[in-house]
Amino acid sequence: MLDLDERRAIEATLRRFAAKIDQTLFGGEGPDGDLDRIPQLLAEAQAMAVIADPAPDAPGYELGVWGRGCQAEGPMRSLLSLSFLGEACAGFATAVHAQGLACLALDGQVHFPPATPLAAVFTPNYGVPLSARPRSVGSGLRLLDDGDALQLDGASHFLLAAGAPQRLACFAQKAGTNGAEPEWGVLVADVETAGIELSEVTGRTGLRAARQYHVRCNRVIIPPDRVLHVGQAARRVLGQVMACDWLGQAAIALGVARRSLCDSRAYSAQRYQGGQIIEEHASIQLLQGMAEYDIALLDAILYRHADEPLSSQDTSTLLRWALQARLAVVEHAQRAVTNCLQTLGGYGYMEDYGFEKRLRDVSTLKSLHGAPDQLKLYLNELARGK
Amino acid sequence: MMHSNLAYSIQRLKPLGRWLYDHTPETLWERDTRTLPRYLQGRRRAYRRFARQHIVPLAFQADQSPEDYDPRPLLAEAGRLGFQSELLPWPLGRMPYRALLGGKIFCVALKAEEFCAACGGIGLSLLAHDLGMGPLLLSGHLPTLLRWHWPINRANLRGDVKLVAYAITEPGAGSDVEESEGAAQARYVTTARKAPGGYILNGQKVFISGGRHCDYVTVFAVLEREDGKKPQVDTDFTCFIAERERPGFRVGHRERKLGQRACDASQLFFDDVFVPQQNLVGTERSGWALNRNVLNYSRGPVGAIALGIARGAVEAATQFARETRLDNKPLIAYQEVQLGLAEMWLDTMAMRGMVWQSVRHSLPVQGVASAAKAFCGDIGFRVANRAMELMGDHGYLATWRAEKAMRDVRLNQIYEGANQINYLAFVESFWESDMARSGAEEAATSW
Repeated sequence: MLDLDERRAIEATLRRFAAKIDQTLFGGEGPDGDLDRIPQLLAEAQAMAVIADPAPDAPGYELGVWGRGCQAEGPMRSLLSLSFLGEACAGFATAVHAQGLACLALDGQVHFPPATPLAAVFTPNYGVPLSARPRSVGSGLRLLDDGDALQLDGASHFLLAAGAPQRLACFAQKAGTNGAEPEWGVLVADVETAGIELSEVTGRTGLRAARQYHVRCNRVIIPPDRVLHVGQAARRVLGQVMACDWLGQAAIALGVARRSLCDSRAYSAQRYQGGQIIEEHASIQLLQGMAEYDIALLDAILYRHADEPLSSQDTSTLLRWALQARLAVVEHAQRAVTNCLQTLGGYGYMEDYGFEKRLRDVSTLKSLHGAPDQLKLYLNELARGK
Repeated sequence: MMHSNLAYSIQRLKPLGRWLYDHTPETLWERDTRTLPRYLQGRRRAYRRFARQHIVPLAFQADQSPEDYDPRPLLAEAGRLGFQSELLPWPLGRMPYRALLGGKIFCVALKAEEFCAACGGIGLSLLAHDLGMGPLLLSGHLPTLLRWHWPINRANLRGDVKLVAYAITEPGAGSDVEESEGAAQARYVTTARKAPGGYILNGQKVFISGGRHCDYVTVFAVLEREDGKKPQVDTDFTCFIAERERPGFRVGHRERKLGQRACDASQLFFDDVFVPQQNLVGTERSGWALNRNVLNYSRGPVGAIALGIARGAVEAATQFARETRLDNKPLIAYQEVQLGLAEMWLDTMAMRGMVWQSVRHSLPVQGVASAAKAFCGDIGFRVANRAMELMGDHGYLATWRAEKAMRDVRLNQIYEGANQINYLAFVESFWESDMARSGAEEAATSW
């Protein structure tokens, strides 16, 4: 658990870094900033131990977003970091988040050289991997056992990465024997392995500083030492990865909403309309008041269990909390952003003030890795103990 | 999908009973169309045909690379078909005669829905001209009509594109000039001063839809007062029409915006632009009423723009649910997906009801038009978001058009007066008649 001084130190460091991101990315034109500078910022994040690292001697291994430290310390550090990064650029925060999820999926079982770009592969084309409704859709990947070797087959979609990934931490289902339920496995694959095809997802509304891919595996041979967990252990890790994915998205959205309100207040304190500074208009006050409420609510949901060690949290409870936070993004974070945009009128709709990017980013977070109705069904499924 | 036993049961009804039971598998669009008078049914079908043939193929590219999109060929085709001259009947334009007796802008609202269901940005680029022409008609000044409105219509009917943009918003004044409380205090900087034979215009306009390609601008300015006092919007606003080639007029940069990108939003500059007396639209110092009435006429169709964009999103979501499979069944077979789709279809039905009701009034009513505009802007944004959500990760990809709909329709909560201004316009409109009535008045008219 982080004490108050540690939280303040994280906030101070991250706010300085966020200001640098602002300066580096958004100095010129273009709605998403200068994306060519993302690798440079990622390198700085690595040096500051903000981004998780698969090398045990790298500082990010423990302290980075979703690094090993969150197992004992709880997810507070990661959530705070993502929310501050989200204030500057939700896409960059998503890139950091993506590397962290992949490190989380490795579960300390395998190590790679410092700064190896990774991606966690666990999302199907549609639906929720662990949900039993209508029948488990899994991750889209299957683990085939033909007696001699394990093979990875199928397609998984919308995986996130900080840069072009070199290694994939894949979750796949293996058919159960004698009619038993399929069991989960988690394994590592090199993207250069024969049979693996990565295709980059283009034409996204937002979060463009992060990379996104579909992966297709055509009977990829997996050596036994690349299988990290099978059965309940793999299922537990997948539960953690899914939960941290949704929590991270909510944290980033919180940052976006917070920054929107801050910028809206600054604008409304300067702009006149109808002979009055606009912050004096009731219509502006209502919009900002609603955003304040939305942010407070999201904040309360997000940090509710953030001090509890991840390793001690029951998977079902952890997933329920994460789903609640992620669903709050849909309702509260997007409403806060759109209400703040409204306070700027026509200027909010143009690229210059940054609100149009924030709306695109938060709208993408809203549908990322799960349609909200599918998440609600899964939340209810968990609550009923199914 | 009708249950087979229900079909059997209907067949067992007496002929009159069967006749009274509507069980045809006709689309909602056709059913709605058939509720319209015949002359509007034909128009609605023509607009949809045009949208499918000419707008849909351009929509994606025009949104992705708006700078490379040249709207003129499409505007020429729309002009030839009479879609750019529907504010007056023959021989001055192509408004159906019967519209003179009923809702005069019903056609425009139908057109807005159909065009914007195909693409909000291209739809706006076609509709912005009607807005620019509004003051020429609503000034009620016959010489203005004959000198400007009629020739522009004739040119467009020949396929010779002549566009008029509507310029009111300024860097320091937007929605406030559109409401009563703010207008007197608005910091309006575009001025007109009398000069021999005409007027000199100075100032700057922003966010002008279609400003880049326009041939004329109907521009509002405060006319300097003879008593030397500071001119105000509510007492000195005056409308002029300025030709593009007038010395001192120039188009500034094109804004980079979230949506409706196919239609430019440009800056216009007026540096000592001389316009002759004949370019005065209507009369001096009548501009505030003229602007307000243009908005009364345009806000219903702006509600229809939101409706069209939302309908486009719903159609995309429905197609997605038909074509995407989950566990070997199409998504549309799942109850939660059906509920989501129904919610969106119902929302668009409510929007259509609101828009059609608002444009049925013989003369547009401020409160009703503002209500339609604000309601449809808000609900349209909800619908487009719901469509994105239903698609999950596919929702944020350009392929499925829902994200474009979300970006496009967000503008409807802002332009033509921010929605908050429209809510207040509704209150103002019905203040005396409905809202601020005394207890005695209420009692006298109550049961």
